[in-house]
Amino acid sequence: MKKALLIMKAEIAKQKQHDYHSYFVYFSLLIWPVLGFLEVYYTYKPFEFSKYMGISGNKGLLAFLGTGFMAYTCFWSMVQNAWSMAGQERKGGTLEITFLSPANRLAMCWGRALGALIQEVWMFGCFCIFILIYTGAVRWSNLALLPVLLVLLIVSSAIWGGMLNALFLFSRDTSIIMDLFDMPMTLFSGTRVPVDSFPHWAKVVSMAFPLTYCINIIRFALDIQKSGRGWQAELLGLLVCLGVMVSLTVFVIDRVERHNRETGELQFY
Amino acid sequence: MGIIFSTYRKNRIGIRRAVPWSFMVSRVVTGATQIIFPYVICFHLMKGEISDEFSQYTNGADYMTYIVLGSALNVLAVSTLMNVGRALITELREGTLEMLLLSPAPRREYFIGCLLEQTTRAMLEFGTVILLGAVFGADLRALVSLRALAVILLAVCSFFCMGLTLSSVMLYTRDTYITQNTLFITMSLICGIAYPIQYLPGWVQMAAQVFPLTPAVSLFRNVVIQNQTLMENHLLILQAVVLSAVYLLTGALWNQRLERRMMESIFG
Repeated sequence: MKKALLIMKAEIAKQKQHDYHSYFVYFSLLIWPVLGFLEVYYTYKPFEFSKYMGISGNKGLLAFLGTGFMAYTCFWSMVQNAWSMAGQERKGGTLEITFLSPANRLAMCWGRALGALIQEVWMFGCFCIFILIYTGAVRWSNLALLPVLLVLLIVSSAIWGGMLNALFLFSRDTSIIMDLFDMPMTLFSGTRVPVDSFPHWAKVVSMAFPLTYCINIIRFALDIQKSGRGWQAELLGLLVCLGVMVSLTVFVIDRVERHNRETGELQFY
Repeated sequence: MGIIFSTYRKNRIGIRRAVPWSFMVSRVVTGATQIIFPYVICFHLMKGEISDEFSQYTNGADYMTYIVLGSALNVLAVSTLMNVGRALITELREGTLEMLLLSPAPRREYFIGCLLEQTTRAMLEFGTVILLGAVFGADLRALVSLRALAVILLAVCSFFCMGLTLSSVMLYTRDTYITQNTLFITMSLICGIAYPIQYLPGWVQMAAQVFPLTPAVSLFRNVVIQNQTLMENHLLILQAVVLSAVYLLTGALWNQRLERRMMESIFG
């Protein structure tokens, strides 16, 4: 356990040295989510809120999109980090070396995803201030919940990022994984559109993404989304989802390593 | 001419051998998601309740048609800028820039080769957006015309010119990640892709005029939705042409200076 934590810490430190080389990086962390958030907000502009549709009015929309965007950015940053790191290590020739080391593979995968930790905490802080000022969704009564939500987000996004990172070990042709998992996630997880308004097949798809449950729990805790299954059911769904992911990660890493021992390669085609 | 096609072949072979899956599937998936999000908002969430403001800003355009045309052009812009802009820095990172600089091939034809290879791929994505849009009920009959084709060509040309400047910026800053993401997010926010730019504050609308995508997208919509002729839109065309000329000149001159300096700084 202690060793695993050390590995994760080392991975985070490595990525910090690698990525945060100038002030522009910090600047971009602030500016991208804000711009993306504004874009989605304006996409809603051509419509009129005549009645309740899972979102009530303009203020509700801001709170809805704010939570959705924050949670999504946390997941996205983990994936992005895992992705760019996998690519860099592959190109730089250090990916093979990490497989020679005795380090725990699972810890390595999660550590790579957790490189985005600083970014997540930063995002979460910014978002809370925003919500506090504009919508009043954060009150004294749920202030204590915020750290719990942060931990929830970090753990589930790290597991998600770790799973994708394990998949990245399969091939250098990885942007396809990014596209197949990341793009549908934005659509189906309820980041931008309430899941309730989806057709049935889309609701089923949305259950495959841990982000869906995270967002629902966050919105429930902050009183933004009234309808839904309640937080106990969501939490249970999240746990099942994360369990499946962890086992998939273990399975994939095992396959990759066996393949690597036989052929000396880290790609399947 | 030979250089154009050899660059084309070189790039295409590289992509097909190294990333064959991303090559096809990524394009189609990204194209599809561009359309599905506004579609879900429009028909599942809002049940098609468009505000009067929207029709007023767009001369009564149909929402889906409006969105599909915007996304289709945005897809072209992003992939052209991305590929032309990143061409030289990718060579630098892969260690082949030195060979390129030593060879007698002029950079102009090299870039056109990149553009050609890239555009044939981007058409896949463009086609997905258009096809899916048509399935979702966009009225795209006017797209099959010489006028629309001319607009697309003009648009790709102007994106190419901007890509040259972008290439210099990337080479100068040695960065692709921050530059490209900031640029693309900004462009899709302020150029009027998913909504009319009149919703944005005045100074942002002014700033949007710097990007060739803004005139290109409104020109494209005027031609396809309103069935206007090119002559009626001469101001938009003029704007796109002037912007292209400025970007082309900036990019060409800057690239030249950078290359001279690079010979000393990188390989010295």
